[in-house]
Amino acid sequence: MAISKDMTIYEQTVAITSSYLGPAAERFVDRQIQNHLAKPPTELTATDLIKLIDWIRIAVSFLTEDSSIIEDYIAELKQLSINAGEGRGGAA
Amino acid sequence: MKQWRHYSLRYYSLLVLVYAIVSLFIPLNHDTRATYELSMVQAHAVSLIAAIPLFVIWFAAFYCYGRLQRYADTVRDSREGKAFRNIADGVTLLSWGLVIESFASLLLGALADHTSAMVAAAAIIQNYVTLVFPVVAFLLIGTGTQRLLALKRARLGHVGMRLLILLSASIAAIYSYLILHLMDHGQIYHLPVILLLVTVVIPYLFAWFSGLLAAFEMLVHARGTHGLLYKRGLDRLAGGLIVLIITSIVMQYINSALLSNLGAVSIGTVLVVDYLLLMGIAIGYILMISGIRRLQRIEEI
Repeated sequence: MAISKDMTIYEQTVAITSSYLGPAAERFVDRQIQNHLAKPPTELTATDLIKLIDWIRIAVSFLTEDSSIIEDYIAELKQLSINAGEGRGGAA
Repeated sequence: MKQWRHYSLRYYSLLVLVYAIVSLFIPLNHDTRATYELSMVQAHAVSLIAAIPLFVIWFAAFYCYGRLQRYADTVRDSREGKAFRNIADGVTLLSWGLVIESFASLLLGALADHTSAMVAAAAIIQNYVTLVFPVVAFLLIGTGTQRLLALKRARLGHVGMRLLILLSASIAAIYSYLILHLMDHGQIYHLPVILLLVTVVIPYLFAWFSGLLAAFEMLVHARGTHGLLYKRGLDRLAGGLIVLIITSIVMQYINSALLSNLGAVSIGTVLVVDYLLLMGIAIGYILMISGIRRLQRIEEI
């Protein structure tokens, strides 16, 4: 899924995740946000994302033992959180 | 929440128990026992031992449909929910069809052995029992795979579609020839030609075309789906479903058209062919189980 500047942080997180989890990406991200941040998924902020990344790393490590995939995915999310923190990632 | 379809392994245990009991107590053909010089006890023991591979394959089938139904429940509110529900229901029917066909064969065979007046009725009932499950199952699976393709607004390629049509036409022509011209269909199917065509040949061809189309659509869907980790599960599920559909079709084709045309085929050859094909079906179910487990884990983490 292509990422555009007009997308919210939540939408960009789902877009990055869909490269790994395909059609299950949105459900996965929603579940992580609701379970670990206890807030509506669409209200995800840059600060939330930083906290969420650690939970996502743990969750994905249950899905694969391939550390390169895990690290690539986490690196993309971290870059998103940096861009969002600098105001380049679109509205929360 | 567990629903009836999640009790697949309980149904399996009950069915195996009932089949074993029936196998042990059902009267066996006297001529067959005399040919192999077996006592009644020995004949029943052989019958039960011969059913063990069948029980293993039933286990794979029932475990698979239970897991698939559970996965379909998990994703029921998603875009793919209805599609996976259709596929799960189709696989469930195929699995139950395996068992019911075996029961029908056991009971109707015994009935025909002991009451010559029932030979024709037993053969007719057996044929229709064998036919009805794949017809409905492949229709359901095909509805599911079509829904999956529709989600992506994907279509089958022209080349692939034309190859599928050519394959189906070839299967239909050869099958019709075998059924109508080579064998004594009156002695085997106990039906007039027109009834045989309308109620056996056409439904089988419809089922096989539906099944092949569903297999092709599943292949296209799996190829067109992205998601590195998701694809690992989907590819196994799709591969297993394709193996299951094609092996089921081959088994039905061989059993309904080829074996009865081969004249003096020994019972051993028939059993070997059938068990090899059943192993292929089991491999399909095992691949599907592997894929479903990966997909289920993604939805639960």
